[in-house]
Amino acid sequence: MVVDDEARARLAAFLAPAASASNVEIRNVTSLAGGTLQENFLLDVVVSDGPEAGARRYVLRATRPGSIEGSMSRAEEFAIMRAVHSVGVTVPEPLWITQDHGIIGAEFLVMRFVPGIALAHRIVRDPRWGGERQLLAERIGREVALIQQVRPGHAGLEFLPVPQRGAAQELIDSLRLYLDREGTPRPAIEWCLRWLERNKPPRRSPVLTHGDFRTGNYMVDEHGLTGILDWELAAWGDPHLDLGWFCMKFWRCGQFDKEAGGIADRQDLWRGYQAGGGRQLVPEEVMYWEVMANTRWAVLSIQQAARHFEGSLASLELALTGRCTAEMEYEALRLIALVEKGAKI
Amino acid sequence: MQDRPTAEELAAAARAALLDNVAPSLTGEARKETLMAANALAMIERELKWGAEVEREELASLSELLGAGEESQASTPREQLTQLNRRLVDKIRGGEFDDPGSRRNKIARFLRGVTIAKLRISNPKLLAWEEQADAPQQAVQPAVSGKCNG
Repeated sequence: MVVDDEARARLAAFLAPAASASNVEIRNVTSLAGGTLQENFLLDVVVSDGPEAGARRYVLRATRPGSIEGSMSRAEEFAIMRAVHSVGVTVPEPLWITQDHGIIGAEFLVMRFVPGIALAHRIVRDPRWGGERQLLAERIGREVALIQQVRPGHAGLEFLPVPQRGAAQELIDSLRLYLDREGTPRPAIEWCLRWLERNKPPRRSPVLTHGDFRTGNYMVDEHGLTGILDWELAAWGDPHLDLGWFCMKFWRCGQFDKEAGGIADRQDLWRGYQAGGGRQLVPEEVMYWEVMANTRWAVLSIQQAARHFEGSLASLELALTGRCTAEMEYEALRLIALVEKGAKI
Repeated sequence: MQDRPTAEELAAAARAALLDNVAPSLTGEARKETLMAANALAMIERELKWGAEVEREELASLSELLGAGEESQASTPREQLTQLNRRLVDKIRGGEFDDPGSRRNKIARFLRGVTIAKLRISNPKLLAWEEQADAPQQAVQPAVSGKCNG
C-alpha cells in the first residue's frame, strides 16, 4: 500500500477532527515493518491546536488487502487495545479507529508512537536493549497477569466468543478441524492432540489472552519494556496460554537455553506473573500449555504456508514456515515424553 | 545424463552467490529476503542429498509398525506414505496407542525419528543443539519448584 499525496490529504482531513484540532499537517509517512496481515506506517505530524497540539508521532496500522477471512478487524483489535490499556497493560495508547476504506484504501487504527525496537534477533543478543534480562522477564510476567484482569463481560469485547466446553478442548477441536480440512495426515501432531485431550488440567475461568505473546511482539528501549504489540490473535482463554506460548523453544530466537522468550528462565517469567497478581502456578499445568503452544503453532505454521500455496500471498517467508512445523512437533513430542517419564522439566 | 553441476552443486553455488556477493551490500527487507532465499537453497541442497533415503526409511518403518496386511495400494513412495500415515492417524485418534507400554513407546519413537529426519533437512543446527542437550540427560535435571515467590 502506498499512501500517495491524495491519500495523505484525506488522512490529514480525518486526523484533524479525530484529534479535536483545526488542522493536521502530515510531514512524513514512513513504512514500518509489518506482519503479513497488516501494514504499519509511522506518521510525523504537526497538530495545530487542541489536546494533541504540537509535533506528534503516531503509528497507523492498516489491514492489508487480501487478508484471510476470520482474522480480526482493526476495529476489533482497537477494542482489545482499549481494554488492556484501561487496566494498565503497557500497550501503545490506541487513539482512533476508522472503517472508512475511502481514506487510504483500507480500514485502519491510529495509536501513539512508542519508542524502542521489537526485533527479536536484536533483543535476545544485544544486552544494550531491554535492561536487565531477569527484570525484563519478570516485568513481562506481570504484564501477562494484568492482561488477565480483562474478563468476559468487559465493555466493547462482546465480539470475542467465550469458550463453552473449556479452552483446551475447544482449541484441540479447532486444530483437528483444520488438519482434516487441509487433508495431509500429520501423525506427530495427532499424537500431541490425543495426549492434550487425555491429560487436560482443570478448566479455569477464561481470561483475556494475547494469543501470540512472544519475543518479537513487544518493544523495548534501553531500559525496559515500552509496549506490547500485535493483538489480533487475542481471545478468551486459559490463564496459562500466554505463559506457555512465551516459553516455546521456537520463539527463543536461537538462544535455546533461555527458556523464557530467549531472554531469561521460566522461573523469572512465572515469578513476575505471580507477583503481578496472577494465579498460583502449578508447573505441570504450565507445561501442559507449553505442549499446547507447540501443537497450536505447529498447526498454524501449516496454515501460514498454505496461504502461500493457495496463492493469496506469494511469500518466501510463508512458504518457509511450512518447513518449521517439524520443530514444534519435535518439541511437543519431547515435552510429552519427559512428562510421561515423570521427569522434572 | 544431466551435465554438472548437479542439482545439489547448483543449489550450493546459488546459495554461496547470495551470501557472498549479494547479501553484504543489502540492508533491511531486501537483506532479510536474500538470507531467507539462501536458507531455502541450503534446505534444497540437503533434501537433494538425503530426501529419497529419508522417505524410504520412513516408508519401511511405518510399514513395519502397521504390520503385514496394511500394504498400500498407491504407486509412488509419497502416495504410499500418505496412505499409511492416514492409517496411523486413524489409529492414534481411535486410541489404539493410549495405554502405556511397548506399543505406545514404539509409535512415540517412530514419530520422534520421522521428526528428526525432517529436521536434518530443515534445521540441522537445531538438531545438533538438541543432540548435545540430550547427552547429559542422565544428570540431574533442574527441578521446577512449585514455589514461585518473588
